[in-house]
Amino acid sequence: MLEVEDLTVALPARGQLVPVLSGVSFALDRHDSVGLVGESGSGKSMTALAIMGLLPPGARVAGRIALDGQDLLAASEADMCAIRGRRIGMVFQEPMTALNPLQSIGAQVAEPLRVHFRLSRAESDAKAARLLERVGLGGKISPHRYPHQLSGGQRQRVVIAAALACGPDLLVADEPTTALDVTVQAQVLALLADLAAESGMGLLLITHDLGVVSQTVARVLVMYAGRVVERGPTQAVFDAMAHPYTRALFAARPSEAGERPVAIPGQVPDPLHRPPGCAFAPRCRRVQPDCRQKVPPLEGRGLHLSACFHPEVAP
Amino acid sequence: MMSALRSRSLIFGAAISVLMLLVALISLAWTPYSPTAIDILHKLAAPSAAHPFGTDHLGRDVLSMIMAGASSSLSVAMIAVVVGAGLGVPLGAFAAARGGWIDDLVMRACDLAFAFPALLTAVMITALAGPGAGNAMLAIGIFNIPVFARITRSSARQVWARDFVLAARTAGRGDIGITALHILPNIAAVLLVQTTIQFALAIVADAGLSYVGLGTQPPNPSWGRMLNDAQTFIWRAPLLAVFPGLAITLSVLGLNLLGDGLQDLLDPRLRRGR
Amino acid sequence: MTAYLLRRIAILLATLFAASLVVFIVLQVLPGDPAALILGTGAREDTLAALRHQLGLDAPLWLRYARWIGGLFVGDFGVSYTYHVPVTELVRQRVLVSLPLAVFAILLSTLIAIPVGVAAAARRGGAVDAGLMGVAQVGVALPNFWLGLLLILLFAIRLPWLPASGFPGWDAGIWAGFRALLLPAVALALPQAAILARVTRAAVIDTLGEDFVRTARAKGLTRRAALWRHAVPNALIPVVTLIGLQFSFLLAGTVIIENVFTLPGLGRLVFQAIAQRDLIVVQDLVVLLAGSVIVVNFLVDLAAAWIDPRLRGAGA
Repeated sequence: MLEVEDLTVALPARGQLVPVLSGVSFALDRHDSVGLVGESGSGKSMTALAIMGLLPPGARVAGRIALDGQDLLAASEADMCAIRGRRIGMVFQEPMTALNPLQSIGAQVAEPLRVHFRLSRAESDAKAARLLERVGLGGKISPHRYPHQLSGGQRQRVVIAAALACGPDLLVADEPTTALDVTVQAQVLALLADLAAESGMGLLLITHDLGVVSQTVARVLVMYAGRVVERGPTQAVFDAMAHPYTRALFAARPSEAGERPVAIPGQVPDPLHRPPGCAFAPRCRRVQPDCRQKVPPLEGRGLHLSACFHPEVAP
Repeated sequence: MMSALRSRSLIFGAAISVLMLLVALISLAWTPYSPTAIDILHKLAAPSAAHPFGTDHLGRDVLSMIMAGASSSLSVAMIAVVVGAGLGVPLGAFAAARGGWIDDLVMRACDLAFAFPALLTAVMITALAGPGAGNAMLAIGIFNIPVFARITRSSARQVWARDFVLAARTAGRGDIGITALHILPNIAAVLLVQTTIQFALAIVADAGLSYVGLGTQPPNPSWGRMLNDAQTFIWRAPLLAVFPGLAITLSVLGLNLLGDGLQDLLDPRLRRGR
Repeated sequence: MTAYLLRRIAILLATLFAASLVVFIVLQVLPGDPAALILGTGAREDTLAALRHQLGLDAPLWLRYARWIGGLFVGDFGVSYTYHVPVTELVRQRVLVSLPLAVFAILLSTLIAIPVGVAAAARRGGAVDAGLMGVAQVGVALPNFWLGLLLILLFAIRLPWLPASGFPGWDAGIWAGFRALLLPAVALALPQAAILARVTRAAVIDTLGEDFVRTARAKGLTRRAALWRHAVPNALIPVVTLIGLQFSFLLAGTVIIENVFTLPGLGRLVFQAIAQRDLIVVQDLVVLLAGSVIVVNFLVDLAAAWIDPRLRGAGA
């Protein structure tokens, strides 16, 4: 359904073009779910914005993004407006500020229905009320309530309801639970998985949290400095993490089991001053001279690939 | 493109403001003619080499009157702003430091004061005490007090909430000490910008008051009064209406640009709590 | 919502009361002896006493205040010292000029400023933005009475399209009255519009950066729809508050503009009353003008609460 081929994005900043994404490729079908994992600066959010056509002005994009064969990068703004909210829904990271404070939650969920399906006010309001129930906000939370009367978790559910209102084929969720309390996180993730399974839509989940990914998606892509460094079925990747960065990310996560997280030394390189060769080399404990010569390509047998000349585990 | 314009704001604004200041200062010592020298023979003359801006209905040199008007406007505006800031800033700082009902009271009083714009206040004062530059200063100054009180109070409140102030309080510093050492320096930039705005407003207010006869009295020249006189002769000598208004507009423009430029300059160091 | 409303009304009444107190004290108490003010210090003692008695000045202070306030409530504003007619009569005729003028000016100012501000914000950084804001920067600096003079010069003298002064009265027809108020309203409106446009632009730019605008676009709204349906309503809150504040400046401006255009409004009445030491008229007018500022700000607060549900108090 969704095909991303060799996506490369550069953004204007400080008078120059900064590379943000390089050669990102993946595919996503209906009933499918993919997780994009990485730290901030890895380019994962940019991938989502590129798919939606919401990159900042002046962005240079190369490659191909196709939705059921339709080339999204070549599409006009009018075409994209027809696709956003209707065929692709998006949920963002900050639920506290994602809703218009002046409109009721019912109105905001009903809006995409009126925009795309031209439903009447009565019809769209009724449908919005049902959607709000579906995401767990029935009963005491009336559609006439305003965002400031809801908690973060509740607001995020409203955002999800609005994103799903038109029954999209694909839901893109960019760090949907990061700003929420831990207890609420699990609920919202379960809701997302539930909704995806029920409607058969594809789910693209973007997060920095490996734990989130392990529970919710079938395939995972690990990103670093704008490139995909490892990919494969979630279980396969977790069982045998090949790329040193994936391992380091795993070791660095906070865990409930009481293991101390191990911080990854160093920092994500400034995109304007990336070293030649593998971008992770300066921080990698397995680094060799050839790592700094060329960028390692994504390779491996079968579905589990990694971009490393000296992977931890041969995939 | 806007950012390029902005940094020029400071330069243009400062240049114009300094120019106006110079003209005002110079006029105290010298003007081409005495601004009050009447010369009926040459009344309503068009601009010429002898009189670059022409003469008014009493033959007075317009250029000299404009220059003298500058010092008149500046002094009224300056006193008004000093009065306003001198009383308003301590009031606002006090309200911010004490909080509670004192803060409420001060803010309500400011709200009330805002219902009486400078003109109304001047109307009341002149109804009693008669017109004049002094009363104009008083009226405009009184109106400035709530403005400064307001902005001091809101900026100060933001600083009070910051960690280093909390640290100072725990260390035992009193309100006055904290206000002097920590609060005021941190809000100085905001106050400076506000001062340029109020200065500009004071010039316009003074001109307005003089126009209706409530401000600087003749024979002392004032731009507002010149406009009033010019109106009587607008059919015969339209240019008379142009120069004083231009002077007012330029002064205000200069001060506004200066304020804008200062604000952008100080912005990274200002904590704008929006 | 009702609790909010009641609270606001209570504050409104308290403020009006306080304003009237201030005016009373300044004009009746401070001068010491209003009778001497009217007749001059050279007047004979028995004439002064007679006047004092006639004006009710020999009554205790609180009684004088109560009489005045009570009178205001029932529409009795007292009798003018100079004209010996009820002040209400004088005010009624003049209000029919000043009020339409003020309303006209605010409408013009808002109708110009908001589209200009939104347009500049939507095309931020471009030539349109720089041009509009450059004009606005100059507009802010223009004194409205000078603008009035320039307008007279241009549209009444060089091009005899509109009257240079005077007001024919509404009996002469709506159009004739409108023509007489057009230049004054424009003179009042343009500098205010300049300020308003700059604030609108800043507010819209701020709101365009908010997350909920991005959410709107992700739902499929066009840039224009997201701008007008989501960004602008949010930007309007500070703008509406500013319009309310501007009303007080506008009122002060109306007073001056009426002098420029020789309009028989409240402004000219005030100055005539000052010249004639007609204290009761001055007192009534000042309280009327201050009172309308307070009422307008009250209405603006209500409007802001109507726009922004967060202002309506907990729960709603």
